[in-house]
Amino acid sequence: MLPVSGDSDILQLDQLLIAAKAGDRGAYTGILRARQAMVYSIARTFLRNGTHAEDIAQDVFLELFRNIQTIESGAHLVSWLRQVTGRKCIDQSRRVWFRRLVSLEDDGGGGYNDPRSAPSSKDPLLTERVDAAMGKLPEKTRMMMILRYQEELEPGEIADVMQVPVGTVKSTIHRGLEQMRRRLAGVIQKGKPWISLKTI
Amino acid sequence: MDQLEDDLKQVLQQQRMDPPPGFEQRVLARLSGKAPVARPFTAWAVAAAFVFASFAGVAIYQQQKQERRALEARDQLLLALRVTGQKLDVVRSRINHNSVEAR
Repeated sequence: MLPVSGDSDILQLDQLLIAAKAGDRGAYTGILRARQAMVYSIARTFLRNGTHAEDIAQDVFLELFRNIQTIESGAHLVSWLRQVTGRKCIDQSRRVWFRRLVSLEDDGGGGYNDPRSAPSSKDPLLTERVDAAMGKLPEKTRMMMILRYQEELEPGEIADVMQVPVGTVKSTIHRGLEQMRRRLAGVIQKGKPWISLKTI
Repeated sequence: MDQLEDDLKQVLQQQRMDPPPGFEQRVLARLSGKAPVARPFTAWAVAAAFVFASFAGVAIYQQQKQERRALEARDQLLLALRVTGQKLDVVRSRINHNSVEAR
């Protein structure tokens, strides 16, 4: 599991950002190296497709290069990366051809068109069901769920990233959880069923 | 945080991972503008499309050539039939002329 950003990471990013803004290509590479996993992971979980996630991640870092002078700090940089990744993922998933592609891949028994193996899990059934249920959530809800549970952001931080009121974030996540609960009914975790023994 | 949220967190955090090898180089190459933006798969797809287009082009050319030959053959046949028809007219008129004289 990759580490979540801490204060030391942000300080390091501050320094890299200053150098990158001064034109240091090595510093830009440092930022890329430090944050590529975050950007790629958000896109990959959202799109359920490794190839498209890489395309999105590449575009995000190219956009960062073009807009680096507008970034104010390391913390702003991380928030900006999440925001742009989220926007690009949502735009991508709304394209008609992408919807068709995803539905075809779902028929084939799963997403994550990734040359590498899918992430290992202690409970493959749970992982598979959660992936499938996440894929059926509306785009904005899905992104908020990823930011909340994968990136461990607080509702206020998600509101900044998604540029919506905190109340909207809370109610959207609540609705998302209810939808997930209905779809995941019957999947048993640690010997305890969540609700009833229905299937997705 | 309830059980569902715990499980969601567990599953989603397992999905954090680095991008495929070479990602950094691909981004930097795109920045330099000399980049093979395409991954190997895309390059293969482009190559396959080129080969397919070449074969399709040759097939279309062959088909057009055949059609052209068929049209030429039809024109030659029509010409031959016209010439034959004219000859037959000459023969028929001579026969008619001879039979009138014989009477």
